[in-house]
Amino acid sequence: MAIKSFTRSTIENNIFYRSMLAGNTAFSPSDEDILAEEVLTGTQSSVTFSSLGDYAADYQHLQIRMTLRNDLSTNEAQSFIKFNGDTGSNYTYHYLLGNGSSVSSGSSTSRQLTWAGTSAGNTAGTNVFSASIIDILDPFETTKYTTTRVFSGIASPTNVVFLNSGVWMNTAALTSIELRPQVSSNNWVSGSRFTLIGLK
Amino acid sequence: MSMTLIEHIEVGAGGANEIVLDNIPADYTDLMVVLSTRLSSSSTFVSLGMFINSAAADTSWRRLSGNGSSASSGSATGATDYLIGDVPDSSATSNTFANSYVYIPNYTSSNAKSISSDSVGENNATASNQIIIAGLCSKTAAVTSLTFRSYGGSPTIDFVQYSSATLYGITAGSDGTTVVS
Repeated sequence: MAIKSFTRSTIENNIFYRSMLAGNTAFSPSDEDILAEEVLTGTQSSVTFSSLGDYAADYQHLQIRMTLRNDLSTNEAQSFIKFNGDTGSNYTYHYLLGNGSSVSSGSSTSRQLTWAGTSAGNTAGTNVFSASIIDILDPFETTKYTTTRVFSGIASPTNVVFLNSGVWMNTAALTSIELRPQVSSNNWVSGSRFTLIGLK
Repeated sequence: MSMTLIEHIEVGAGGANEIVLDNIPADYTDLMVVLSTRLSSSSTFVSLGMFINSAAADTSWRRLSGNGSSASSGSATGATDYLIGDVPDSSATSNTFANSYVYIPNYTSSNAKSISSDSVGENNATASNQIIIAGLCSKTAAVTSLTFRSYGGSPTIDFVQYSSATLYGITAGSDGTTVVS
């Protein structure tokens, strides 16, 4: 934390303080840290957080926050997650959806990816991006399959909000997380943001 | 705003019929609990509940939920437990645990305690659960303990080994720039 009040320091006003804080607010470290962030300045087919094992000793849970738009010619599209590069049919997902007038629920089992919520497509309103928060609990435990919980939504012109879950049926500790658009030949566009957060 | 890890509990070998977060200090603004749980009866999913301090019929809640094929809404009043969600049980896909989040703002106030939560319980089949819930516990004392168990009374179903609960304290802060009026 930066010192906010330099004028209260001994250097500036020649006052002797018994506290090293010298009138500044005490530093209170948070147990929630940004581990990595990618903000695209051009198109990119996927974003991957790798070497996650480096965080295993310090963090219990992981969270990813995203604002997304891709170049698929649609108002709204899905986004997907792949763990540890596994392309087998080892993923499942379910969702609860509200669209402003009704709610529904659905599922898809034994997939090759799991769902990372919604994304704005190329025909969404100008400068419209979706928002998503993905939580992954105990990602470094080797006794559990990896379960995800995703909260996401988008407005204009398609209005949807999702609570969805997914599971990667493998007990391996996470080493990488790949995030890609609904169609593998499409890209995330400039301004899409991907932030990896660790919770102690 | 800062988040502080207060306690992390993991269920050991043999399981446990309750997870208790006790002696919660009054040092923070809000509380958040993150749960990774699985239960051990003979169903596919079992409801997970929580009560504040001591158990009493003083809780109401409203839910919006999906089960993989349809969505529904429901409620309870005068309930002993706050409903958190439906978590995988013995007949669900092995090694699969639910992800649940419980938020209790202003937990030291002398008002009734508002609670919000969401929970997802996975399974490699159509049946699964995604639930958003808001509720109220009429207790006016500060929250000093949170007890998690199978919903609805005496806990007869064990959490399996490796089920976990992580309690965080959320502290309101000021960045010296944002104006609040």
